[in-house]
Amino acid sequence: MDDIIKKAKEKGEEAELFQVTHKTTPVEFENNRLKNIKTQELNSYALRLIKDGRLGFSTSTKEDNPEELLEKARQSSTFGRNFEPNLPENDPVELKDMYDPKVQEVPLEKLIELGTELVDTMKNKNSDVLAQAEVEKAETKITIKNTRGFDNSYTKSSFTIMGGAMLMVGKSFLTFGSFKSLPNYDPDTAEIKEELLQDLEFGPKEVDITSGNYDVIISPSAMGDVFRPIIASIDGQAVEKKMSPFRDKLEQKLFDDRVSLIDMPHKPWTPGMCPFDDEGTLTKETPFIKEGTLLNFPLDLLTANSLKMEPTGHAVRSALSLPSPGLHNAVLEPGETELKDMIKSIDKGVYVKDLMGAWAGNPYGGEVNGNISLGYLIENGEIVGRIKDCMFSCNTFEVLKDQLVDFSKESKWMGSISYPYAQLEGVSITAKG
Amino acid sequence: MEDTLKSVLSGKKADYIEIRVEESKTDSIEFQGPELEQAGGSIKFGGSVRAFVKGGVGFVSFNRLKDLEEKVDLAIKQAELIGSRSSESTNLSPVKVINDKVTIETIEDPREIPLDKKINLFKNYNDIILSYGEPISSSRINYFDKYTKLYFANSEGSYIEQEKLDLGGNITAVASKGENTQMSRVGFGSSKDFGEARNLEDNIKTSCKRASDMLEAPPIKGGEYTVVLDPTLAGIFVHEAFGHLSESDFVFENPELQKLMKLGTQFGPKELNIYDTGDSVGSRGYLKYDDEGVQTEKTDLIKEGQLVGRLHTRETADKMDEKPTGSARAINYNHPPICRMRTTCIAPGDASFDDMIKDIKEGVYAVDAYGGQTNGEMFTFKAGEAYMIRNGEIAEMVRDVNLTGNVFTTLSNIEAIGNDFMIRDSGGGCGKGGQGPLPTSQGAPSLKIQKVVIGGKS
Repeated sequence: MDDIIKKAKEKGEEAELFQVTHKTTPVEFENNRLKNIKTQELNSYALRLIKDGRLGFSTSTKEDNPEELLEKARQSSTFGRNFEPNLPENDPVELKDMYDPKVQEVPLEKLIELGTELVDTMKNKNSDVLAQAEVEKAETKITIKNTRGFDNSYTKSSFTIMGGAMLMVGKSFLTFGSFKSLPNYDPDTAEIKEELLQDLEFGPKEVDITSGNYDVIISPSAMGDVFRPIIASIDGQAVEKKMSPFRDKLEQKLFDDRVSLIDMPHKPWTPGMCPFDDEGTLTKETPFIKEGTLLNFPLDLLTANSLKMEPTGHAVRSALSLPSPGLHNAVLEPGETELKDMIKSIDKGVYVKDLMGAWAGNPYGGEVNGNISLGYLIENGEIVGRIKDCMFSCNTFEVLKDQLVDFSKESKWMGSISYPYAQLEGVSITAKG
Repeated sequence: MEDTLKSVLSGKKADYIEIRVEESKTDSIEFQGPELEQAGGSIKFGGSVRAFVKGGVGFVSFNRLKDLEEKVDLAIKQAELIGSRSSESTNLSPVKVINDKVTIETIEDPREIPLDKKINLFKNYNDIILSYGEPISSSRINYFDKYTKLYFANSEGSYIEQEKLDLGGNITAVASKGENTQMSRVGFGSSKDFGEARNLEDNIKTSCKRASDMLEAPPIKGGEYTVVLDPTLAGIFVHEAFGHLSESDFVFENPELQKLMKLGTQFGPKELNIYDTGDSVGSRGYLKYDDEGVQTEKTDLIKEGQLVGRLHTRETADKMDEKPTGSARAINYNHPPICRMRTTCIAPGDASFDDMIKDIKEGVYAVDAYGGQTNGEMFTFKAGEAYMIRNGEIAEMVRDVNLTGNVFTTLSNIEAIGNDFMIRDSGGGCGKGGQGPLPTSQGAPSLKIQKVVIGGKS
């Protein structure tokens, strides 16, 4: 596979090989007991080949068939889209603080111990609970080579601790969880335990809710759903394909002053760090939304070229797919209020921890609709119990313009985005009856 | 392959070992707007080992077959590490030892159609959308076909070679006007016939019209409604509302839930019959043997409203003292099999569509599906298209219709079951435990359900 780039170059073709080597070892606890140890390995190759100005693509998890990979990519290039931009040829700087050797060194016994601790914490609080936990160490190496001489790689470590449980409360299923996943080895589970114990405290007590407009606190986990229309609409490809309602809105103020979304791919010990993107363009800090104003779209080479803009270094891809614009390490700027003070400030409201089914459907209209699979009623500044069988609905474009009370000081990484808690006013909850 | 797998298994010390090896070839095509974003092929090869030792389970996946022996040893070592700490055992329900080779039968085999012919077909569809005119502004088309050869061997002596075919896609029309963007799509899927991707021109034109109409439709007013679901959305309903709760890995170590899920419990009206089957030849959920080498079957879940069965892996069947149903499925070699649906159906009833809507003063007719989700008890399912029902007639279009229900009340609120049963496949699939999209299918007639909560502004 090593000389596949050379072979393409000899024929006067442009080519890029994207290789991912991923190894993960999760230790899994199911229903209160240690159950599985897995070792999952993936070694994959994705080849982009530009022949006569057209893009061809093929992928494989076999390392012994470079000719077949090359031939498939050539065949596919006869139909492929025009590829005008030059593949990158620059030299990336090495990023520190993205690889921690301690992650691979930690013995399986320690992973088992951490998981046992989480399971025992939940069991001790409520012996009827069915606790789950997963402690995982992983390592990913990305290598990109192209015919313009780019030949670079980086290796990232990842250490993940997850805990959660299912508890039957009469006929109700109470399901909750908490996790953290960062590049460095950090065995501190205090925050995870605190969140699990809070859900075990309030979750079993159910209270009724009636339909109406409420003050609402949205957790970082539910923010993933509520923010989805914005993430989908700033996407360079959605702009290029005229799907995004933001396509003509650069430099316009679309949201409240406190809404700032900035990608920070070099921020130390964060999950999405990378010195270059998934086609070799160097990464840098990029504001997408600053103080409510739309400033940039994440762009890869192709979308930038077709929009006649500069690439922003936001090509993102999975091991076996073509790159498309995405985020590395975006931070939705936190606010001034602590979560506990947000709760205290609400006379009657809802704390939404998890939404279900809110990802489904058209994101470009801004509408978000989901069942509150885990949520609490707040009365007179205190959580009084769990609400069920009700729907949360909002139009994200509208609520983040006119209904934002504040973002919290606390934030949490949910995949490639760090979200604070958000407090919104006048959000519609639809209940039974 | 048979000799390689069997010789590696011989003499290894574990309570149970299975090896799965998988090679697959995929063609995929993607249009976004006028551009053919992608037309290419993927070749995958890999395998995995699962070993059981005294209640511990070790799982190891790999890409190189030459590493197999070493991976088997690692899986056993991992299982031993757990087994030595565990007081509980993990046993597998006994099943027949099987030696079989399964080949696919096709109507129109996608492997025999050159990539350029496939591209042309989808390009024509794309042109229909893009030449529809205002307010249609863009399109998105995804297509894939995947041929897989699976090799399965276990330490009990089973050896199975199985071919599988899976194909599907979605064709989406995008309409926009000012800041308002709406979409409507046509999905298809099959395990034996590329023909399912053909002759979709009229459906695509209808989708263009729907997306355009949705620009003018208001979001639905939130509330509790009597709803009528078309067979496609009713299929997603049965998958989310009951299918997932039938998967026994949710139940087998949960004594409280087992009390609620006792066989014989009444869940719905007498007319309600639900089953899940591996036998639906041609649909994407078709499966002869599952990924534990167990032959699949038609499993009755609800008969005349009563709970009569559930879906099992060998482990859950052993623990609950029931029979394996051939429901252990893995998305690919990189994951162990877990309990999954195949083709989940509500059997037809005798109500006509007109009978269903004629008495509804204000309700919702919800058509086509955008997906759904469940936590086992509460569930959601999103309509692709919806209309108000007023005084027994279909009235104005509404949009953003996401419905929710609760398994312990909604099934018993089913008021009528239609006579228009059909199995529908889409280009999507089911996700669970990080394994998705797994090909599953749903079959259902139209359904009339009372008191369904739909989200929206009041």
